[in-house]
This record gives sequence, C-alpha cells and structure tokens, in this order.
Amino acid sequence: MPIADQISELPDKSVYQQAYEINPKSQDRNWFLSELSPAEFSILRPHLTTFDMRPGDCLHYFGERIDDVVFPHAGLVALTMPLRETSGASVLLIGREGIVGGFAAAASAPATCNAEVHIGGRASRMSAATFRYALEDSATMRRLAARFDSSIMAQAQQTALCNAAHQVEGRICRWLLEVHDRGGNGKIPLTQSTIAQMLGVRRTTVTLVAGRLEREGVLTCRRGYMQIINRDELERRSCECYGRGKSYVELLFADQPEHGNGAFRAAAAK
Amino acid sequence: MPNYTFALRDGSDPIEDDVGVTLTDRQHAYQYAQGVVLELMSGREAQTRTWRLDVYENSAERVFEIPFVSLDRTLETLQPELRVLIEALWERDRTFRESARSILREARARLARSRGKPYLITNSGKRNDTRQLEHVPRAAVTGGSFAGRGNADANFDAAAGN
Repeated sequence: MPIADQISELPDKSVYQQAYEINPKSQDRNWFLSELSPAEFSILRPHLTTFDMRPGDCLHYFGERIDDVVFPHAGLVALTMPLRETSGASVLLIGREGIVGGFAAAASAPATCNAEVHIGGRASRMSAATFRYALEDSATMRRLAARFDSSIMAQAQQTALCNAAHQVEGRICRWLLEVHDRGGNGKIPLTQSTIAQMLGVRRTTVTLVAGRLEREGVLTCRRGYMQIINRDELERRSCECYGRGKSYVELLFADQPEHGNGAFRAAAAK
Repeated sequence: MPNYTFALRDGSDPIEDDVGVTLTDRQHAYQYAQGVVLELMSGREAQTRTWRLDVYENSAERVFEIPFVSLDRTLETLQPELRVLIEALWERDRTFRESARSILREARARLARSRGKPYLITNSGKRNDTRQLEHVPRAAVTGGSFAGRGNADANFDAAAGN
C-alpha cells in the first residue's frame, strides 16, 4: 500500500499535513522520506518541520557544526567549497532526491562545505541530534542513508573527473540536465553568472555557450533564466557524466524494498 | 572603466556577449578574453581550431581578434614556421565558411523574392517587422549579422514580394 494511503489512515493527520503541506500523492516530496517504510516514517514525522528555502540562503557553512538536517521537497541546493580568490565552484547539487547535512550530522563532524540555496522551494528539517538518534535506532534507515551517501559520493567523483577532462559545452549541458531533473518544467531559474560560478568558468564563456545552444534551438535564454526547448538534444550534447550518474543511481537502488511511491527508482529509470 | 563585449565567430552566425564585462584597461580585457578562449577550447581543440573571439571596447571599436588556433597548446610541439602556416590556414578556412554562408543566405533571399514569396530575416534575434509575421507562411530564416559594426550585408528586405 503506498505510503500516502497509509499515512491518511493514521490518527494524527494534521501533524502529517504540518510536516509536508504538499499533496501527499504528488511526486514533489523528498525521496529519502518517500523511501522510508510507514513505521520508519512515523518515527521521524513528529520531528520534522517544513520551511521555505529561499535563493541565497545558506543552510550550513564550511567548518561549522551542523544543527539541522534538511530534506528538500523542491528547489536546488549547491554545496560549494569557499576559495579565497574566487567564489567556489560547486562540488555537488542536491534537490528533492537528497539530504543536506546528512553526512556530517550523522558523524557529528563539522560541515565540509557551504550549502547555498540556488533555487528556492519547500523543505523539511530535523535536528541533527534527532537524525543521529534515528539512525542509531534503525538499521534499515542507516542502510538507506548509506545508499544516499553513496550516490552523493558518486556525483562528487563524477564531477571531479568532469571538471578535469570534459569540454565546457558538455559540462554546461550536463549541469542543465541535472538541474532540470531536480524539478521544474524545463525552466532553469539560474542566471548565467550563477551557472558560471557553479562551473568555475567566466560568465562570458557561459553566455557564448548558451548562445550557441540557443542558435541550435536547444534552449532559449531570457533574463534570469533559461528555458529548455529540446531535452533530447541537450542529452546528446552533454558529456557522458550525465548518463553514468543516472545508471549508477539505478544500480544503487535496484534492490531497495518497495516503499512509498518509489520515486527515486522511477525517476532514475527514466 | 571601459566595458568590453565579445563576439564568437565559429563559422556560423556569430554569437555575442553584448552585456560584457567592465575592466580597467585593454590589457585586462585581453587576459579575460584569453581565459574565455581557453575555457571554450579546452578538451576539444580540434573542433574549435577555426574559431575566433572578437573583443569590442564600449560596443564601438574592435580592439582584439583572437583566433583560437593561436592559443592552442596542443600545437606547441610544432616548429614555429609550421605553426604560423597552420594558423593562417585555419583563419582562411573560417573566413571562407563565413563568406560562403552569407553568399548562400543572400542567394536564398533573392530566389525567394523572385518567386514572390516573403522572406523574413531576424537580425541577431530581433525581428525586422513583427506585424507581417501573422500572415506569413513558415518561410522565415534566421540570420545574424552585426548591424552597425561595419558588416555590409546586413540589409535584407523583410516583406512579401519587395
């Protein structure tokens, strides 16, 4: 039985609605929370509060202790390493498919990076201590969290290789696809400066590459956002890192027992 | 401080960065442009060898033209004379492609007009006459030239049968 139906039978429906305030049957829900069994979710539910992530917010800073673990339902968070001379190129992207701060919170370690919100959206947060306690208590939750950590590690390794080896147009296409996958109807609400910052290149380079893609009819550039027109062509022009990342996630969650709406697996298989 | 804008010539319609960057002087502009060329070229030197980046100061004067081949580090092992020859060759290849393209476009325009068909051109993404779009079948071709930057073939008629 899908998690949404089970939840509606629980007596404390108002608490659930408080925790999400989103249609429970929609796909716009954090995938870690969706993958939990009803029993596991009922443990976490009372400790979750929702809030709005706004662009420009920083969820945690490099070197600081993490107080809250965040589960985005929408939007985009970029993990960046602060560099002295330039603003840090993004190491990782996390949207509704991931957890922000999970790693460090579980290990009680300081944050390894800044977590900047680039695209706003709804999210749920829980205190780091509660998250730690929940993981200590439940082996299945620990295993699920470990799988999510693996997928983040894979993304980090892929990005490191990509930055070193691949040409900029392929990298930009891959990045646009990764952002598109994390939500939205093809509209990428990022400025060219932000994309340049995320990829560690000059803004002019992004403008010229975007102009080339626009000339080929792949996307259109507007003030403050880009609109993807031809997703297939974007995939064709992306470097191989995009395809590899998706295959890995599919492999990782292949034997996950069927819980929730299986959003993670369904999307990875697309 | 002057504002520097850029145009990428890759053998097809030029791509512009018309917002540009504000930098202290031409030397910094050249360094910035050099950085852009290296970023665009890295990992695909063979594909971008014919490209050229033009740098404009305050949208008026073209201060630099940087052929990608001149910054191509993968050619460093070549003898200097051979290198110069190759750079000239690629530059000629690019200018040839650009002229061929504009000749072809003008030929298409003349042909379409001779048949009494409308032939609309958008100039660098801006339409010449939006009102006539509603009544026109799909005979539109986009082209881009630098209107106002000394490019002579920027005059295309944009009406039915003109």
